[in-house]
Amino acid sequence: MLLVEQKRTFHIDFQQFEKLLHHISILANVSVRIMSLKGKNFLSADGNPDKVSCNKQTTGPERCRAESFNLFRYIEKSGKAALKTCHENLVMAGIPLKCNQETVAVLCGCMKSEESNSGRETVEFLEEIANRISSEIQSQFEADNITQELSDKYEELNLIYDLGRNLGRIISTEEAVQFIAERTHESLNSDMSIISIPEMDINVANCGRTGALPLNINDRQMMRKIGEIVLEKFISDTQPSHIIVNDDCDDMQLSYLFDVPVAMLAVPVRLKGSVNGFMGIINFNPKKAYQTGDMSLLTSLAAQMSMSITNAELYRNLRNLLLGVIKTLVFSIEAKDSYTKGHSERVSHLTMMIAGNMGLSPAEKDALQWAAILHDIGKIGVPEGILTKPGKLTDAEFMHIKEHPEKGYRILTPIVQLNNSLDGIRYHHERFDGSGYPSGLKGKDIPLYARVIAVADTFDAMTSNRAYRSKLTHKDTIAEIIRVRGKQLDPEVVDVFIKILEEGPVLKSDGSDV
Amino acid sequence: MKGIDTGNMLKVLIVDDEPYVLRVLKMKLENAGYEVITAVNGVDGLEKFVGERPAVVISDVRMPLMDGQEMYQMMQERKDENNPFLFIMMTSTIDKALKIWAEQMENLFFTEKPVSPRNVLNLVNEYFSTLRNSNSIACPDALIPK
Repeated sequence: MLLVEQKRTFHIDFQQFEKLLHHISILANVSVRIMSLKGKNFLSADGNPDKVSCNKQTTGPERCRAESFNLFRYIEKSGKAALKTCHENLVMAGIPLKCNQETVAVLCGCMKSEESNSGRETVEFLEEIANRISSEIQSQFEADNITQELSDKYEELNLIYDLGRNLGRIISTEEAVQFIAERTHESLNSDMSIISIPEMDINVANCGRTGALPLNINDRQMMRKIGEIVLEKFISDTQPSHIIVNDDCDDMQLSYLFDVPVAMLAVPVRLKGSVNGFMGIINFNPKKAYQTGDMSLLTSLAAQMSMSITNAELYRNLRNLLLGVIKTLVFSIEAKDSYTKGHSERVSHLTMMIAGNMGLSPAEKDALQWAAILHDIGKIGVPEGILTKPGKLTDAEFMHIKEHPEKGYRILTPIVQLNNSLDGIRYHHERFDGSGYPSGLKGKDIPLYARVIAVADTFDAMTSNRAYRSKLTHKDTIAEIIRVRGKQLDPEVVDVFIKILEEGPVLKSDGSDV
Repeated sequence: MKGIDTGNMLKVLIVDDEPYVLRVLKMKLENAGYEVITAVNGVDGLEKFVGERPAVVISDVRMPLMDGQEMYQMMQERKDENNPFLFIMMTSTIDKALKIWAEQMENLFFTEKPVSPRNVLNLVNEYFSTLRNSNSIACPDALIPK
């Protein structure tokens, strides 16, 4: 069973016919009322109470009410108009009011029997009125349905737009899956959403803020069992495009899993062309049944999800490749100059500590970190003898050393992913007072990344052994950094750094305290 | 709810020149038990705001005669001192200027078009439940729609 008419509550406002009934009762000299299915008197109008009101008869109102109820029950069952003599001198006519071929109420007219010779006409008149009222109710019911349908479409559109807006921003698989599970649960009229892709270790169930459910989503064993059964169906030979369970007969195996009646809808998730998982929604309210519309929406959500999982994977691969290239570069410079071993990593570590207190965005932090770890990469182009020479360098030798920021910049230019980091590398030997190299930039003309790296670089150089000198003590280092504040180093960055040093020891990546 | 004077506690005004949006939101909110008034442009909306004193206004931004932004400001000038109201603005694109403006306004929410009727209802429900919980306005539980 695929299409199940969703049961909606539709309130019929009989009050709107009050004036109409009033005029009819006066015109036709009948007492008219609309009675709803539960036999409650909704609306009544007495044209001329003295003449026709049932309630004023000697037999008493009780009998009359019982008669009208009987008539009403008969019409409800048969769905046909009927006439009944109420007393010797009263005739009651009942005409069903219908909506969607169902009798929803009865229009009752009560008239004196001596008038019922001409009553034939009155009955016909009432029939015509009942038809008009029925058609009005029908139109309202349809308008209500269309509005409901439109409301659902708005919901779907909103969901699709929202996914489009957000999935572009999300770059991790976990986040994307979680986000889709949440939004699916919210928008698709369900108590729970499940996304399962075993080979990627993705098993997510979301029930939002829904209260107690007959199924505990933390019951891993149960969730795994549901996952296995559903996935097995999708990878079976028949390769179904979806599974809809709206009552127990649809799928015995699945229904059997739950103690309570459920409605369930699931579609396969395809990654790299083959079915690797599924996405499903479950409803514990048996009145709500899933329809083909829900299925197509879920299918397109599953496709969106596959796409963002694939994207996330590609992104991760690319990033890992870049990381690998960078590590290789760092290793190659360290292989050349054993004194700087670990230096790049320590500078990167210190730089990130400073960056953490400077209000940078994640993307800016990334670029700064690349720049920090690669800041000395240009030393690859400096002769080994100069790099490792103990004692003082000649001017010519020092000229070679001074070329390394520019060389690093040129080496890395081809890697576009590192473009934002290049300035940090090229200018990390500029001094705040303008006396640095290669360009002699001054103050804030020196790019921010370079000013931050300069502080970290200076600090690490001072606290490490070098070919030409031994390391300084912690106290001396701080004093020295403060001494060059505003001359060699950016005073603002130094202040941030000193504050970090004062808050606690800086753990170097080699494990020793500074 | 008959017999209790609900005043404007559950009254919601929806202003939009798109009849379908009006219709959908009206149905959603009415089904949840709110009293809904509708208006088709800013001028109409302002008039009904003054006359009916709704507790919540849901409005489009781009409308003929008077846009949502101007209408909001006029409403702020004409509101009762002790009667704050929630304003939900529906817009297809939130540009920067509008965003900066909105951040300075009180009780103003944005929702992007196509709106999710469910989201709008949640916002309205939440607003009424905070109203109920705050001491300044007493609202019997019975008045809160299920």
